[in-house]
Amino acid sequence: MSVDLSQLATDAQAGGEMASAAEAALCAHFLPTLRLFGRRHLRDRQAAEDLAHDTLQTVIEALRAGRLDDPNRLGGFVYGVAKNKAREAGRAHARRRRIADELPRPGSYEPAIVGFRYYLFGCLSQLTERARSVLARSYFEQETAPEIADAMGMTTGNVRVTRHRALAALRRCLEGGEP
Amino acid sequence: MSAEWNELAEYLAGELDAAREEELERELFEDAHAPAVVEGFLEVVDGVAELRAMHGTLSAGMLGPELDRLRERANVLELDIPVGEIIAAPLPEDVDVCVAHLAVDLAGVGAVDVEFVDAKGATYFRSRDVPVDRDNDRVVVACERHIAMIEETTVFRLVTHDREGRRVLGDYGIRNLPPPGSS
Repeated sequence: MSVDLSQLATDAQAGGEMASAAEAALCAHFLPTLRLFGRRHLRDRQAAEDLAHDTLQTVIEALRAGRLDDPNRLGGFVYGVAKNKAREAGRAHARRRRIADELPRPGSYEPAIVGFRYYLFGCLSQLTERARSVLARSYFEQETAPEIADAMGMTTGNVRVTRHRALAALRRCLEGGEP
Repeated sequence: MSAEWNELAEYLAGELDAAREEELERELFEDAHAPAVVEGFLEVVDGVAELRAMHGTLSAGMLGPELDRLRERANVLELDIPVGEIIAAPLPEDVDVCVAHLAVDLAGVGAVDVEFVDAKGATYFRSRDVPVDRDNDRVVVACERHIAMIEETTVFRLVTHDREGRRVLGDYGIRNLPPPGSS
């Protein structure tokens, strides 16, 4: 379902009950993009989460104060706030944080995530070991393509092609097709 | 929205040039359809990282360092199973993962798949191209306890594909006994 961003902005600035619903919808809409943006620029999942929530808070406050002149520019406005937040975070260098300590033990999944994780595991099981290694190094070890290439005896271009094909295969599998 | 997962992956890795990166970011914030694509992408990226973190591997098979990491994170029951044999073993409730060490002749063998086979011989899960320990002629397979408990006897079938087609290298079984003290 398509979201009308200009209507969201108009409703959020209108006040009252309609504003509350619009604010919630606005947060739900922009949260994934803000997370991705934060992870690209801050290289840390928790910092990206903080940036996402800080950005949304600033945007909501601005809308309540009626500071968005053109509702059609909501997307650009959120983007601008996010860029400022990223600069404020002042993280000049890439940092990597391992996620292992945050996770429960194997076999102790929460029901809400069990289905997707097992399905994803099934799809990953259909890839080659090389493809799985590239994905694990990219997203668990958070290595760059040149680092992966060096470790696995591949070219950087080959790493990127392998990653691309692996993600495409996962997407096909998760959408119900063959990987 | 023009960006698909490949470009999102390149963006996340910082591999886009500055001009395209800014253009993509504007698209992501201004396109009403973008969040759905981004959310699906992040769900998979995060899922890969979390599965790897939890299990030490992204397949049913694993090598030494991955097994060491799994032992640090989970209560592991390890069993050595010769080819063609079924080992009877209780799987206590405090065991998180069963790790089967499968002895197999890997001489001249390429990629190895692990199939989980039910009592009727049907494959209910397949893990393709698992890591193999050629120095010790073995394949190490990890199986979470509740998966191992699906069948009364869990059978792992090692399979390879060569010029002769599909070739079974061996079947290995774990017969699940009730834990001591249970009815």
